[in-house]
Amino acid sequence: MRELYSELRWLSRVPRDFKAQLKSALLAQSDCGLEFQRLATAALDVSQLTSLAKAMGQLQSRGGSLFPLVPFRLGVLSNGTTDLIVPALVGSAARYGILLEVVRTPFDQVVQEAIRPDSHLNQARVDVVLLAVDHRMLPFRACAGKPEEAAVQLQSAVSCIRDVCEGIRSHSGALCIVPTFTAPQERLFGSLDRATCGTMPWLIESLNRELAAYVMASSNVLLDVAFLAETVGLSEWHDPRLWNAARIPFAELFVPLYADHVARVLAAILGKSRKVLILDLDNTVWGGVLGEDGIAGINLAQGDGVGESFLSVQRMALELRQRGILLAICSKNTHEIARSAIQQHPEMLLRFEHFAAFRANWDDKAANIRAIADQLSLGLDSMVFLDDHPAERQLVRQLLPAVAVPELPDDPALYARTLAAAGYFEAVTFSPEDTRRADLYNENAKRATLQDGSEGIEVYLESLQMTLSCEPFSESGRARVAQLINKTNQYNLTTRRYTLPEIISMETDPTVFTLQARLTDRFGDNGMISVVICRSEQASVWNVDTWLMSCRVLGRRVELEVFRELLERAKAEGVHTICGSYHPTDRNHLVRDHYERLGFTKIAVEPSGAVRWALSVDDARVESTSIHRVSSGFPLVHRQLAEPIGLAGCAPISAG
Amino acid sequence: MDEARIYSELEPIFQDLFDDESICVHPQLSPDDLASWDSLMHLRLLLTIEKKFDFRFSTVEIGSLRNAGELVRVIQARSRVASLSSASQSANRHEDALLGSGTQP
Repeated sequence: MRELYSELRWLSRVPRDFKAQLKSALLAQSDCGLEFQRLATAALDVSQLTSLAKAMGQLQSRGGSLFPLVPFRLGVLSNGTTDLIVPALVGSAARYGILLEVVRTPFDQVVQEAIRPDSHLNQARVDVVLLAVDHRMLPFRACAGKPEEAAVQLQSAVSCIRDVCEGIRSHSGALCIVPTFTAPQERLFGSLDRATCGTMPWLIESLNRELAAYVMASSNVLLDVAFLAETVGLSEWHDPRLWNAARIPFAELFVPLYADHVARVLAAILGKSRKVLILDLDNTVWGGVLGEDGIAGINLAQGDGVGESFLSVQRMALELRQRGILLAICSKNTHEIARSAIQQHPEMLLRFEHFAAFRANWDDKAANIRAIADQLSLGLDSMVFLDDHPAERQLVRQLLPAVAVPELPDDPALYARTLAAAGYFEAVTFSPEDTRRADLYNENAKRATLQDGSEGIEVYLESLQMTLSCEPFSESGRARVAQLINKTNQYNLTTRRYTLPEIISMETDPTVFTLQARLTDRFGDNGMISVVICRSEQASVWNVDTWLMSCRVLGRRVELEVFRELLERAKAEGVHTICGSYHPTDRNHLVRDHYERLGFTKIAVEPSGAVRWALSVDDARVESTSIHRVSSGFPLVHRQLAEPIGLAGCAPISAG
Repeated sequence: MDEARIYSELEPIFQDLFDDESICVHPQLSPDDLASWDSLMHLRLLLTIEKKFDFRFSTVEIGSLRNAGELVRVIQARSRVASLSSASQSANRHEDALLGSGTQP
């Protein structure tokens, strides 16, 4: 079963002609990011990941484009050799749509590189720093049975990691990915090690607990390397020959696994984690074929090995739903029969109301998955499709390469484990909103039903009894703000991504205006759904840096009410011109006319395709809506109005 | 497994790892012949061979093997794949002998 992890068995197998495919990808004349991403999506070993990274480097060095992979700069600090992991990281990041540029640092210079402001790392303007360190960098010496000394050692290890993170944060502004530490395999006493203070396992276990708390409190990111090592086994993870001969910190066999886990975390930081689990029914959610075996014939029996296998898939799906992952069904079945099986089978854990979308019919699955994406207003790259049938998996992979389709083993007992191992739903933050998200989508379904039966949109919107609460960014809202900024693709004018520390610094920056808005209606609380950030490089002009809105409140005129709030704040602050820009991506066509609809004047179209808009605050008019708006927490300043400087005051669009 | 067989198994490993399909593995082939055969590549080569032939090099071997000929000798002596196949060959010979259809070794 170790092969599930060491060989990344949830990924498709590497094609025999991988090298040839790589060569032909190199010959492409146009943007070939997607082709490289496709090649990276197979279960590549270290050599293949290295070849892929090399090819990407060659392509870039001769001016080729890897669009639409998202560029990302990662610093790597290590007390060991990083030659094996660096190319593997580049290859694995491509799997997640990331064009990774790694900034390497000299061997075993972790602390020096972190704390010196002028170090190579701190000067390199990286986005995130990976601490690829292991227990051998810690000032640990086993001191069994000496509690005072153990406490001192523990504290010095915690402050060592903290100094590294804080050095990097203050000198370069980057986040750190902090690992948990793996205890060496060799024990002093045996079982007693875990219970005896000052032994290596005790020190490392205590350190991991403290680090996890520090990392979350300091808005850095945790990478649970200790869990990886436990998963594959300590005796396999640690290879003393490799450390002694070349300072390679863990067995080469697990480099692809480690690199994939780092890449998942990077993807989560960039908001690229998946959001929806789409399930097949027959032999995926239950044993047997409903159409042939009937409701009584499908197997979900407690106490039956096969039945329990499928129940464990259901249990995992339910748990994912509770943490905010949406569930959907895509199955070749007759709708009524599938629905009644789900409602009536006594041992079903999943129930009809758990699904945000339900497609049971005889159309092809790719078409159904596309329909689910449309219904939920989410991209195909948010979807995971779980199906036991190899041909269905192949079809979806071929027609919809953006959808993640895990390979499944023959034995259903391993379905849940394989889905979990793939790590599609990796998260770096978790907010109370997440636990309610799946319910929100269900309430949306009810609203949609109401809309069908209403006489006209006005009556419908009125009947929703909506209240919009506007506030500046705050401590309690910042995790959700970060999530919206990093995950919203469609209703997003500029698609600028910010890390949590950047968001925190905006809260107190006098040149930045921030707004978060929350919407409630008669069906419940929609949570925070819109974010606006304006920057004022000069007094009296606001440049809208970010304007985004969650798609679950589309079509309810919320943006108009946000705009009204923005205008009031602008007036209160003596701002007379608001400048905005639209940066097109392949996902945000929805907001192409956003500024035009709000009455802005187009002032320029940049070569990049970005469009600049401007508006004089005094001339602005906003349509009325049926939303009740409440505003709180903003300073009540009425600054002296500066001389109007006209629309020419708008700053040019930055490259970002 | 005879020497020639091991050489032919090694060739694609070298070609793949050093990304050069013109590499021909012969007993004298050494780091002097391949610019990219540095200490890290040496280690990766040995790790790949370990996977292929199902045995582990010792630290002494990692530090002392200097050319393909020495590699092949260690593989021949240590490989479980190599010894399994020779074991099954001798078992076959034994069976043949019992059936009276083979020549005595």
